[in-house]
Amino acid sequence: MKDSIRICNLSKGFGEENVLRRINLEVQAGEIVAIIGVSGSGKTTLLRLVAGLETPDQGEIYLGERLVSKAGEVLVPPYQRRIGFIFQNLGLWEHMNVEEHLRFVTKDPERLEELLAFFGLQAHRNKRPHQLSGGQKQRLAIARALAQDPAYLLLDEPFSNLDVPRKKELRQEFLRIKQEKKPAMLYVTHDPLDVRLLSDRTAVLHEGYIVQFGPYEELLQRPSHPIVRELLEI
Amino acid sequence: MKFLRGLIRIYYFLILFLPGLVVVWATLSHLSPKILFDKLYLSAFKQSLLIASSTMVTATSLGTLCAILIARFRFPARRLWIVLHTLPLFFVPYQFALAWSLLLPSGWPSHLLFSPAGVIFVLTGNLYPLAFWFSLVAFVSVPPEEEESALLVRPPRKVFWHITFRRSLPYLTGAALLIFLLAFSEIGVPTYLGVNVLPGEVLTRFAAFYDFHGAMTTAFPLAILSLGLFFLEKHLFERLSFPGRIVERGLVFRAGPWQAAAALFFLISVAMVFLLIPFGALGHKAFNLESLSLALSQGWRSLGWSLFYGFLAASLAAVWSFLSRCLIGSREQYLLSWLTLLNFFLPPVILAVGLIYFWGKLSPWLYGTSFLLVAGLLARFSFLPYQILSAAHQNLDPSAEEAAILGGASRLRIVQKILFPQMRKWFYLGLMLVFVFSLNELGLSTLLYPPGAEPLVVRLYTLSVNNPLGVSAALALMNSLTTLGVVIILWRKSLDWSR
Repeated sequence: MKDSIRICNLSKGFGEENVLRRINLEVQAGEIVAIIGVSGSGKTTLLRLVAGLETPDQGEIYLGERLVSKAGEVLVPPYQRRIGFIFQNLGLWEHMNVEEHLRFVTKDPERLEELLAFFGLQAHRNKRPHQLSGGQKQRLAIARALAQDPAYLLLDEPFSNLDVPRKKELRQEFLRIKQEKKPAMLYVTHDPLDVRLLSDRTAVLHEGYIVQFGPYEELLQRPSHPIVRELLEI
Repeated sequence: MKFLRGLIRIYYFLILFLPGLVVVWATLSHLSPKILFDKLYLSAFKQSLLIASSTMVTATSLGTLCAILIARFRFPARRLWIVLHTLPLFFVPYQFALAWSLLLPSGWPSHLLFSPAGVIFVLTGNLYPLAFWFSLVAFVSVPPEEEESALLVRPPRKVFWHITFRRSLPYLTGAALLIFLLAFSEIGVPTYLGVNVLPGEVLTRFAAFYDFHGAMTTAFPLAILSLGLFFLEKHLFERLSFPGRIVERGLVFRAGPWQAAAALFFLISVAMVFLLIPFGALGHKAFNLESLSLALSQGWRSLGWSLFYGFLAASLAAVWSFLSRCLIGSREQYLLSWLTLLNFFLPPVILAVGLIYFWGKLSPWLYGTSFLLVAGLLARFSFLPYQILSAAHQNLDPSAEEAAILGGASRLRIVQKILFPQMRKWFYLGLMLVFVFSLNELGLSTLLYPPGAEPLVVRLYTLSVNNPLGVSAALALMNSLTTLGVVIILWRKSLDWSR
């Protein structure tokens, strides 16, 4: 239970459209759960609900033992949830340099230096996002997400704009983070290769429902819905 | 096509470039330092600085606060709030001075109104919508992900200061500079309230003493300051982008019932003080048969002239801006962007004096015709449709134009069938803004209107000095309702045409 993400009977709609319907999901500490689905299937909304950036219409979200969101209410504000979030377009702060990004999140100078070294950003500490390469920006976003020692990591297609070598490098990075920090990780992706290489379990979202949830091999061998075959390119 | 391009170039050479050049040349060549150290002059200069800087602070703070409440809290009827806090910008500022002079009892409140503090108060009410709009645009321009990634580590108040506010600073600075400049070059309100300011000095020297050299010398610091602000503003404008949406994601403050009530009370109070109460006062004073019939008999011809000048200037400015954007190369575009903004930054009184001097020398037969006023309005306000259409053109997908080129369409056909339909909404928005601001432009109109064809804004101003207050109030209402009518009609049309 400690530092796990537990989603119970969660529903969310925007206007007339129901984006998520009665979702149940659990991610253990140190586990990576991949979420796959076609565009508009509610993957990003699910992450935003866990982060507290959206309010559920129904259901509950627990982080560890703590009930953090329930129907119509965000009980624990995002900044008290110990969540690291890597947004699809990164959401870097254009007016801050690399060091300021990390200092905004952590006040500990040792931690800051450690992160700069860990992600190879020491030489770029005074650069602003528009002066960094794509890979450096990605690393800065990850460093920022890890700066507050999050118990939970939410990743929204973090590799979508990267070339193959960079993707490979960052996959290794995430596996290293998993080994060392053991956060509960929810990971949205479109890439079957990411699912195979990174995830412990995978949830397939389709039309707002989770149509299958299990280890990659299980999905591969016994797909329960045609969309699972399509998404995993079986 | 060559003919059209030639016409466009003649237009900007004669309307935007040469008169401005003449202003600079005339100012520099007629400098008489003695005037600059005159006591009266120095006091007017100090007064202008005080009024402009105080208005800048109050109007920027007020507009920003209103924008924060509307953009970052989820209050009901958001559109209504936006309209209420935009409208004061569309009315002649000195009619608010007139309204408040009707409202305040004689004694110290009235004395306070007829002082620099009163000018600051009235100008704040007229100009805070500028800061409101710049801030609103700034707040919705911050990508929601930047705020959301900060919300994961910091409470909303800190996220606002460290992310939203810091990212919005160029916009707020831009608004503050613009407000400073407009307050510095404002002539109607200070003159009506009996406060001596620099543009008033220029006007007096030129119109009352026919002292062109003295007027140009008086204008020198005004021109230098305007040019300095122009360079700053140009630098800032290049860093801004203007998206057309109001954010639904990102940072939203959740207000408790008391906070929400206080915020709504504040928004209502500002709208009451700067819009509803002054209009109520004008309406109350104007609504009797005698005042209305007198106002109609004295004002209807002027109203016709106002609409004529406004419509002509607005149409020409919009068509010219659209064609130059579509037909002129990028280097010239850059030059045009500078020229339009520079002309807007020249205080209207100086621009008017420059135009009289230039056109008086070039073709004296044009002096005393409507052409001069329309040329002045074009020079001052072309920047509005030009900047709007430039932004719209930049946001268009270039592949639509490229596909038409590959399909063998001529440039004119591409402009007509591909570009205009996509930019139509912005074309009419630019047209509306020039129309409305032309209706209310006092500085240029006072000096440039042809004899016997004075626009309503001048008529109202001259009559308000020596006419019964009821008639002035009725004329002010007539002017405001015309402005409001034009805004509503063109806004609705632009929405229809954009569908």
